Amino acid sequence: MIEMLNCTKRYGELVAVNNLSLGVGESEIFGLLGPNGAGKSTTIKMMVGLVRPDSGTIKIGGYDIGRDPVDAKKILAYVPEKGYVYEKLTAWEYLTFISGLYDMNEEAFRKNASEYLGIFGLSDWKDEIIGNFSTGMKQRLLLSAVFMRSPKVVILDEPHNGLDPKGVRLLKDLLFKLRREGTTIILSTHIIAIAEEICDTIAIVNRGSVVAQGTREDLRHYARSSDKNLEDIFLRLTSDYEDGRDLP
Amino acid sequence: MKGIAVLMAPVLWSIKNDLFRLNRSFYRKLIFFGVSSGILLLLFTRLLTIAMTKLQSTSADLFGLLLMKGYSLIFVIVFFIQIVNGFIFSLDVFFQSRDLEVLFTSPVKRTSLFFSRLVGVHIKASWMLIIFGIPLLFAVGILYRASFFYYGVALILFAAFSTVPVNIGATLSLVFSNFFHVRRMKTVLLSAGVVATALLITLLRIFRPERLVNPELFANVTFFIAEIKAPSFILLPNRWLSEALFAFLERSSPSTALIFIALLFSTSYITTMFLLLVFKRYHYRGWGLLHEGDFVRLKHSPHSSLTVLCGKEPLSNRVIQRLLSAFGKRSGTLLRKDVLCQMRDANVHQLLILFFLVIIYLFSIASLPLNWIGYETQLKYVVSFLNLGLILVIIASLCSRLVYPAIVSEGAFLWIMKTSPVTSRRFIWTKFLFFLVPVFLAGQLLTIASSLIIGIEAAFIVLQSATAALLSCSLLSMAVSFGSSDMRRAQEDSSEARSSTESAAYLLVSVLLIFLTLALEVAPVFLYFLKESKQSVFTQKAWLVMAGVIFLLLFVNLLVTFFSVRLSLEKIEKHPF
Repeated sequence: MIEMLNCTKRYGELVAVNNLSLGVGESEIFGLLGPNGAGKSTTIKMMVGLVRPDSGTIKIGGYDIGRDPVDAKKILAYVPEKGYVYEKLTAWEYLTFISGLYDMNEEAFRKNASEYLGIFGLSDWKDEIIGNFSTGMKQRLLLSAVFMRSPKVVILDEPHNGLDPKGVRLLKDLLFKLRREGTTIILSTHIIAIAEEICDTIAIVNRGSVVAQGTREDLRHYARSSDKNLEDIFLRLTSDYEDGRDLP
Repeated sequence: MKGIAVLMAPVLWSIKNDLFRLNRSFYRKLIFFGVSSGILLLLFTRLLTIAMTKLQSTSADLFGLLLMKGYSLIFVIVFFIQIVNGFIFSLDVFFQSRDLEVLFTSPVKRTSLFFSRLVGVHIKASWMLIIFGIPLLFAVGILYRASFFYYGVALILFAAFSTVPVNIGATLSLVFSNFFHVRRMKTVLLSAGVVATALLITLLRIFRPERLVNPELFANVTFFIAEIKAPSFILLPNRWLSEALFAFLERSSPSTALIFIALLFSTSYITTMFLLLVFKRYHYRGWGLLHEGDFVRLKHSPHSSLTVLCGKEPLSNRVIQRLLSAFGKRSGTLLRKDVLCQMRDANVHQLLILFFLVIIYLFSIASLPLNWIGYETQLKYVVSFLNLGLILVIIASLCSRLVYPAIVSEGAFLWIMKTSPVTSRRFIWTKFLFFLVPVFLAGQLLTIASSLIIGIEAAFIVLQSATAALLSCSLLSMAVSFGSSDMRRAQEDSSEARSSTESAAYLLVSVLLIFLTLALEVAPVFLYFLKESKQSVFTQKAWLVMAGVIFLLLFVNLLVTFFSVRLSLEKIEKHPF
């Protein structure tokens, strides 16, 4: 469903993404893990068409995001790390706006929007101005706008930011539901436990390249490690930090 | 002093980095501002010098009087404008800067914080005024053949003069911030400022002060002008500035000049020290009030409960949706969102007030004494020409006030468009179309109505109306283009949008385009004037000139619109995420 081939992105002298290739199939939850500045967000932004790669191609559902962006974006949904939303619109108006952008069927929109506002606990706030929402409520609204469209590909950049434990749990359950329905999900997160728990495949990104990719078992094998948890494998593969080093 | 240096360091280091690391965008801006400001300065100075020389050659006595009255009046206007500027910019700098939170939690002395911020207030409030004020000072210097020393002194005196009203405005804002929420106060003040001006103009038009001074009662024009009073009270700084400047120009006794210079500088110092006291006493409380305000906003509106109960969208929303459905689903959706956002923005109140001002403007045009025997034709065409210039400036201000900030604020939400199946082209054209309606209508209403009131020929009205229409497109497309270049600011600090360099650049380029248009329109105005005064018909050559001007106007404006839209598209494509 997602094919990323030899993608490179430079910002001046800095190589943010270096000849990166990825492939994600249908009904798969794919996790992108990496330290700060590893190139996760740039990779995701290239996939959704926010950043143009200097070289390489990205195909979403067979459509090249560079050459055929409109068709690719019709099947794509994106939740950014810091998702600014129109603060002067109400929650319902925002969802109506999104439905218009994606040319949703009116009936399906009303049914799905009401359903997801209910699931995310925003039904009572649907006619409130978004400017009055808390960060967590805005994040729930962004997720409602994504799920109501039933997209084929969902790309989430740090989606747990601002969510309370109940929200995190809810998101996890919804992602599993979407996977069962055949949706491809790409998730970037700092929370290793979440990646470990919900991702079918994990790619560890460091300095703009994938240093390891596979299931948790594959990664352990790759790291030639007997480490039991993903955190140890992650640290072994990405950082200079050594366990037991004297901290100041 | 060390504290101030530390606080000013980020600004200075940023400039140093831009300079030495050869930041292309910085150099582009520098060259752009240097060239456009230079052109404007030269143009204004030249025009003023020509006008002054012409007046001087007509009558030396009349000129001397006019110059004194004129400068006195301009300086008093500047004084009051600077009070308002000081008020508004101190709200931005003292209360709404994002770095204040960090600074307040660091062991920085209040005095250092005050002075480092005050520099920012003065620069933001005065730079535009200095660009437009320099020609005034220089033109009179050229006329009096002043030495180079005069130009240096004039600039320093003008700066000292400008600090007084800015300090007064800042003092008022610091005091008021203790009683009112800063954000609301800014919106209220901006609207109140326009309301106050509107009321003042209405009162002036109702009382018609020109009736009180009937020129026919005076022996000659000199006596008439001498009787017109300009505010020149000895305790007002505008009087000190004009006295000091003219003492230099006329090379009169240096002691007179020194007294007024001493008055200017001592008042500037005293107001600064007083402002420091007020800052120490009131600033922290006002800043606290601003942040408390953020937490008490959350409440459920009765309207929303009603809407939920009825299970329907509000009637206004349904009407908007029905009206915009003609544009297709995607464009209609974008337009509907723009309508809703603009309706809930503080700008909408200003639009209503602007409409009120348009009515007053037309009323004022109707009250102009255009029937002076022997000068009717001259006056009619000179006034209609100046009227067109003013209308074009109003269109540019409308774009800068409404369109530019609206485009900049889209920067924060651009990710929604860029990840949806909406092309950048559709997005830009929808924005253009959305704002074209009010800008175009305002321009046409002003042009046609005022031209009819002045009583110029129908063909000339068509020419002016076409000019306003073309300029509506080009000025609007430029606002969209400059706004697109500044979208990144929305993610940083949208409150700064109006005072950014791009916004200033937009105004500068707009003024240049208006100048170019007016320069092109001089020929048709002159031809019409000749035709009317000689009661003749247009020759073939005259028609050719007219056609040439229309073609040039069309060409220049279409070119500007085309390139601006193209540039906007490029900016959106290259917007950094």
